[in-house]
Amino acid sequence: MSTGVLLFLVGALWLVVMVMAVMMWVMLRQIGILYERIAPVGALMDGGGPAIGEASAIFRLQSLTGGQAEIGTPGNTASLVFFLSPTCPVCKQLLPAIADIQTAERRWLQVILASDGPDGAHRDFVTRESLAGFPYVLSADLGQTYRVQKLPYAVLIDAAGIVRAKGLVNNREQLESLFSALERGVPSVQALSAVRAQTRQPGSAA
Amino acid sequence: MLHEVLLASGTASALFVMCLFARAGLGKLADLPRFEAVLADYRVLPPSGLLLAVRLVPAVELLAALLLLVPATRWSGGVLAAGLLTGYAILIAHTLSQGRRLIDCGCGGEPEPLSLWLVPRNIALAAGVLLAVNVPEAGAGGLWLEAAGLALALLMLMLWQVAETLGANMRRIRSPA
Repeated sequence: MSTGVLLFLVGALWLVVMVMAVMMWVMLRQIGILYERIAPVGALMDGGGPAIGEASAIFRLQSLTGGQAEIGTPGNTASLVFFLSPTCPVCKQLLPAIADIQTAERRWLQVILASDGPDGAHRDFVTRESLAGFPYVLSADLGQTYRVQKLPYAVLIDAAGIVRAKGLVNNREQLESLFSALERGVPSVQALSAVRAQTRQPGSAA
Repeated sequence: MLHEVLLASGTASALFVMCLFARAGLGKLADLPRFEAVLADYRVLPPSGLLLAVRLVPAVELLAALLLLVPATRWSGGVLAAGLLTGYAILIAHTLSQGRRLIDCGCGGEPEPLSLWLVPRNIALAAGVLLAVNVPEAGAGGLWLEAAGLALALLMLMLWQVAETLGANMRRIRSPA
């Protein structure tokens, strides 16, 4: 056998193994995507702060972007309080989603950005990320009332001033899960799993 | 004969590490906010140093890849890559010793939580690339050897990705979100 034939065979074999490896990788990615689709997605709720269904404490705070923001007062619109910080990269990534929500749900929902600390850094942040269209409040008291330990954190309060959903939100899906919680009356993914587990028990009409 | 085998496997190994660094560097550049979050999680840099490091680390990784790719500079590329890998191993070991494992390693490719296994992995890669660039006449094998080495390296990278994705799927099975 000539060297030419041998070289050709090695090259062809390389190509075959490469194509197989690529196919295997694509297949594994697809399996991974399937797992992620099956897994429930929701904001992670911890125990602290006002419980779901309780009335929120009332806050009247000066907004950095002008005017006054009211949180928890019964009125015509629900509020989404989004806790963020200029130094939190995930918060920055969620800002486009927040802006979309503000535009799409304008009729019934007011979006309020909340943080704490000295206001200089926050004013820069408002300018840099063009947040002038949102009420932006600074209050350590607000964060402590809701026991915000990790950012970005969001609380959804309905028009009557009742807390309907809250939790740590790391992506758009988790943010949207707060609205599903409001619509379906199931406060969190943890509660949803509990409901599902109950309906699976023998004897129940599942 | 033995020398030729050594030379070929050395070239392929050096080019494989080159592929890993090219992928890591490009991956970080493609998603700087994610890398910033990963670096912040390691809690070793002050906020001012963070902004600089976010750009510096992928640049140095790409530099290592470039030096490894060119036969004439392969030795310095290998030393730089081994230094980076050892540095990462130390950083990972330090972070693990503080009991923090639920952070992304930032290794490029699939998100991967820190684990003790990453330390010997990095050390092995560092030792491998150092051995590879110290084979006598490394980088002087000619164009054919370079081409064959690159082909083999790409195959190894692909299988590496397959193994990583398998690992990520295993974690998804063990802990459904």
